[in-house]
Amino acid sequence: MAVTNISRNLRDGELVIKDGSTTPLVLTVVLDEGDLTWTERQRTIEVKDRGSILNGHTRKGDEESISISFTAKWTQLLGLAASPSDPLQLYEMLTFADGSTVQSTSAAGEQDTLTFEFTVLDPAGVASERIVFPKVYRETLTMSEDKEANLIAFAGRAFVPQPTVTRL
Amino acid sequence: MLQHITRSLHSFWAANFTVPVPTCFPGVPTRIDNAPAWIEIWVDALGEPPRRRNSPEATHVLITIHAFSRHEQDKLQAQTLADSAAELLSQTTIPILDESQQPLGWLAIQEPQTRDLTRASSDPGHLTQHLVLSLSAIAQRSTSL
Repeated sequence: MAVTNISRNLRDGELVIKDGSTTPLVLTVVLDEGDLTWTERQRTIEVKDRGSILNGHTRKGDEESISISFTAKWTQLLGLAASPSDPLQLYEMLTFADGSTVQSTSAAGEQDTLTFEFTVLDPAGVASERIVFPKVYRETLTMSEDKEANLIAFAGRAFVPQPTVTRL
Repeated sequence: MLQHITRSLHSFWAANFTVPVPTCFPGVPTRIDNAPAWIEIWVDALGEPPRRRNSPEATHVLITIHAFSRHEQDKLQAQTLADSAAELLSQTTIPILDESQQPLGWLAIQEPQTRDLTRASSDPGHLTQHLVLSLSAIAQRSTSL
């Protein structure tokens, strides 16, 4: 049996962000809060018969992109963009900062996008899974101070109706 | 990590606390029989919050400093010691080093809370003042390790 019924939790997850370069820049988010959240929406058109649901029917609505968000502790905002010898930092990758060399995964002229790969390791080592969100664009990026650690909160959308889930 | 945090804190204290009173480190015999005042420094508690397996280790640390004084003239000696300790450690970030002095990470110390635990004595001439400083800190491994 390649399925285990052990519940997964934030310890088992790993978020990796990739850009659209020929050899992609890869950033493993190491200080995220373990609060990655995504929502797959399904739109439905309800056609009622003179206001009656009993005699009505439904039709499929437009496809909806996925909303996705996560929060990470804030260390350095700029790395590679400030010095070529410094490692790429989360903030500069999410903002495609000048000098960071981060490339969009979408074609020129489209919105800047990245690929998010979320790997959930099976604690029993049997059936780990990877969830891939292509064409993730940013809607908001919120930086906030806190007593113990400042935070970067990303919220955006993946321009697909559902992510690709594969077993590793 | 505990041994490295404790060693690094003790080293920092020994090098930077300039008030001439003995400091008792846990497990280290120190003669205080005739000392009018002394300090004890403890790393009392460590706690690891939940984190991703690939995230660098971050540990919540509680540091407690006891300031004792049985000085017969200076009845505010313990307060002076507590103030000096707070001034040295509050909002201070010190490197965590391993046995060979290689950097492992950082200990970021936050603001202190001070309590006076002096108890009344039946013999006022032998009153021992006892002030306690509690400091929360966060020990973080360097992400590059």
